[in-house]
Amino acid sequence: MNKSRTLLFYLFILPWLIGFFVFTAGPMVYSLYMSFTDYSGLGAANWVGLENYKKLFTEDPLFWQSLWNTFFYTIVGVPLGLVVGYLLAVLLNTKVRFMGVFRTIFYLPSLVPTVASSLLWILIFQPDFGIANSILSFFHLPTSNWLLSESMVKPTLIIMSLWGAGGGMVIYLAGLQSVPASLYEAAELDGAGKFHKFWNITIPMTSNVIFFNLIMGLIGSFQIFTQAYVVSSGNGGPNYKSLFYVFYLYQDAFKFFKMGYASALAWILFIIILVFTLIQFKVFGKKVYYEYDE
Amino acid sequence: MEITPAKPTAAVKAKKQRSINKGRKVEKALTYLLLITLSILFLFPFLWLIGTSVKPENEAMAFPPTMLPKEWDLANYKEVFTLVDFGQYYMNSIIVTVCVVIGTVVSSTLVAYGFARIKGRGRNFWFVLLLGTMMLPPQVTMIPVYMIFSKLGWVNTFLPLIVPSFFGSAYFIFLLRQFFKTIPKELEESAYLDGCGPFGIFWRIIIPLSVPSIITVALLSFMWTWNDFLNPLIYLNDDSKYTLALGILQFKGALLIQWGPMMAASVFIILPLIIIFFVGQKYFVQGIATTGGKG
Amino acid sequence: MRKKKKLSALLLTFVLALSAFLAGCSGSDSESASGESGDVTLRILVWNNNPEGTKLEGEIFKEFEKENPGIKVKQVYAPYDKFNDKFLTMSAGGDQPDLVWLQPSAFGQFVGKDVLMDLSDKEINEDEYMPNVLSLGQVDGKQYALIRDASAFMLGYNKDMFDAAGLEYPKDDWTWDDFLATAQKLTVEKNGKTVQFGMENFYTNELLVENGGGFVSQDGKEVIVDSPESIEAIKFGADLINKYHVQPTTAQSQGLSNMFLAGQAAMKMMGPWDWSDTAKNANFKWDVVPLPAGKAGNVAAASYLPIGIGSKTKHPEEAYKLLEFLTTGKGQDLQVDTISAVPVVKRNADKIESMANAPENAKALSTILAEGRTVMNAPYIPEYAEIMSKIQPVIDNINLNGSKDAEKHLKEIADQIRKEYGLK
Repeated sequence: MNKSRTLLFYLFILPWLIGFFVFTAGPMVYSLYMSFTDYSGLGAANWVGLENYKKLFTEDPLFWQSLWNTFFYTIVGVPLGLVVGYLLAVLLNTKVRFMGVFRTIFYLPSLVPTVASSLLWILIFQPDFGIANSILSFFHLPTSNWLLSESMVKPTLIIMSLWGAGGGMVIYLAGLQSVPASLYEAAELDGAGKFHKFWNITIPMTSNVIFFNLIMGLIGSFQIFTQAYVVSSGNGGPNYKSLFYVFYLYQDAFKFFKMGYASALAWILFIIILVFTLIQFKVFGKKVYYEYDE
Repeated sequence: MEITPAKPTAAVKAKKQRSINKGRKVEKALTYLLLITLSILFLFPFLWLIGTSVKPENEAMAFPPTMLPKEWDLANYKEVFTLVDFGQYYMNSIIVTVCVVIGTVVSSTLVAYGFARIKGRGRNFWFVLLLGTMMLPPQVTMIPVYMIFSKLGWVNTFLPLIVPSFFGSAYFIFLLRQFFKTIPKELEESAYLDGCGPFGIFWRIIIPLSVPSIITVALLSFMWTWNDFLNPLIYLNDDSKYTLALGILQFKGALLIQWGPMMAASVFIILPLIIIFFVGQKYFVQGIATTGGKG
Repeated sequence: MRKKKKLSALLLTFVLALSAFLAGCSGSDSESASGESGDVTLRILVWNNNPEGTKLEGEIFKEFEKENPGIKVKQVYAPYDKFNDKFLTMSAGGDQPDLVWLQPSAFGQFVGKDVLMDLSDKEINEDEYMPNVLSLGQVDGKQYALIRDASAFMLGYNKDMFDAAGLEYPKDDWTWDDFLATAQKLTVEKNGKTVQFGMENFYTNELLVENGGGFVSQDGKEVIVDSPESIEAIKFGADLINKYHVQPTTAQSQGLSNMFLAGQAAMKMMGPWDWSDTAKNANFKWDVVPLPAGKAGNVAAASYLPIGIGSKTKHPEEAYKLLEFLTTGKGQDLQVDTISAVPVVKRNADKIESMANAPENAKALSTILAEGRTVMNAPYIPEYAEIMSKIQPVIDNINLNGSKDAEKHLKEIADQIRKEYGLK
């Protein structure tokens, strides 16, 4: 690390740096300040110190409920999404006719605007006549109330998220394309089988994007709420079982006019996500393979 | 235990080749089967969407819902343009999205290069900060950000939607950093010996070798901006400036929702995305990243 | 040195590209409160009630502009469920609209935080309006909003289905017992599955009002969801689903926004805003009737649109002119035909019957409004939205599981709310 390298570094990240100071840093600090007030979004903001934080830990059962909902969704959904997205990308990376068409089809669900896709999902998971239960009962399997069942609403939302695996899939595709063909050729010459190639070449050489999707999956999943908001018609039901953390935060901010309280919620989440991300970096960071590791 | 002969005879070789071919055929068939089955799964919601868009309103709400309409009725597609100013929304979406994609690609590649391949003092600190900007739910920074744009006088223009993209997007910077780090150092070193400066390396080595990832950034950025309704909602006041994503929300009135036209509008909205994605994914071609220096 | 030159070239290109795009992509002119030539532009923040809404409202505003040269009206739209997002950001950003449509749940908040202009000193003639209308825009006795339309839900019914079941059409003064009997006769089962429900969805809110109950008392001081009347009403609603099976469960009706129109329910809650759509899309004969009477008579919850003036508006005079136009003046004459909105002024009381697509019995609505049989049941206290959101899941549960333990659950939540919000 010498001076000219450092200068160069700052020069290249200058666009982001400027943007950060102009558009991001100020608002972040402002929201931190908000969290120590009783700001409602209108009118004055009065300092209340740690009042909001105290309340949310000791007097707010919905804080814990929404936190649990979000944790569940993340712990189950992120690894699942990682694996499914990856396998799909591998499937879509094979040399097959009409591959372009297939890729587009798999990406399609993530393109549908939420306002339209939410109705689709509600109808698919309709307990009485939705396709999901129709198929299950056809095979004499137990049916479910899906989005209306307290125990099934989160798993259903996770299933819905897998449909939108297209986003992560595209990134994996790009990653898979970047693996040098020469590596596979060399392995084949050595007599390596399919699984061996997959495990020892494909996965390590795409560990850079796997790691990316892991981190971003985590950060994104902790902030999930739009789909749940729409399919539960804005009430986080049944019985608050689909009330995700940011959903609850949004409600407090824009429906109940408790912007200060919502800001406190936001910063608690920030710390949680930060801690988790740093842990991921510590645990998995070293395992990622970069050609240029400095 | 069989003792394999040192040199397989022609007959044995041919037999092995045939069984390999057969294996490949089976593999291919299975792959197709899997692809087609999953395709139906993934295509189904979209087909239902199209089905609803060609149904008259009372059939759209029948139960059990029918997939295909009893009679095809294109009235909904016409209504999309009469109920709201859809054509204008289209124009606006194109302008905003194209500008954002350009801004995102240009700025994010530059910044990602800095984070990926230039070891400067404080890099880790700024990188953590970069990630940190994505960890605070935007709902609480929405208002202060709006205040900034309001002070600048940019409210009710496209500026708040477009300008920030020229300052890099944390998500894409992180993504590109991951890709830029897979390019071997030797390529850089030989270019350096040829007299290339850091920008030259950026422009002549890194970028050409990162086409799939840059295309990915462009595609994703396009999709997100095209479907983003929150920013247009907050910053645009005139109906003539609305984008598609915001415009389509008007079909969900407080007292009356018109599903038929809404689905038809959705089809209009998705169509360009499909085309662009289909064209773009062609560039995910293996082998582009393998050229240069090695072996 | 080559390195430095290349870098400065890079920066220069970047800055130039940036400015070029900024110039090209900035869209049309930015906000200005007064346009060219001394025109005053009033901005009114609205949601739309139906897809065409914004366009149609524009016609009323055009009339206003014609009569008031020098004042222009600009509609700013935000979807109903994201309305507060828009309003809060605009207000906090110093960009408050001059007029704003109000959602009753937010009204209390706005008043308490000095967001709306106090209209108490304006000359408003109470006699011009139908009974109770003005009070809908008052908080603590002060007038903070004027009402543009006020109506109520009625019951829409499928005449063909009544004919098929050999039933007489409901009378304007029918009761819950009449309703239940009718609904039962109209519920048809085939092969174990209900193919026709008597009632699509009886809103809990309306049941409460009809029986003299509610969530919180009108003065905002008492929790009344566990009063005998409220408990009775909520139980009745749950029984319609679970005991009498005349109304589908949430599972059965999820995702279906209009069973009535699709011919799967004989009756539904219907407001005048539904008339056009029903007339256009129904392939059966239909009509409306006032809601059946509980202990409180054939009353209904008031359904209304308050409009307020932002306290920070730079054009209070012009803003009030527009407000007057909309709530008392010519707007009231125009709105029936343009947007099918029910007028609040007495002089237009009979216009309801001549509204396009009005059903035969539309005059029943005029009667309800003229006799003041609408009840406002959402007190304008700031915490109301939160309180409602806490009570709703309990009611949903009762609807789901049956009314057996309803009393216990309702008392529980009522006490919880009393404690949390310091109410009686």
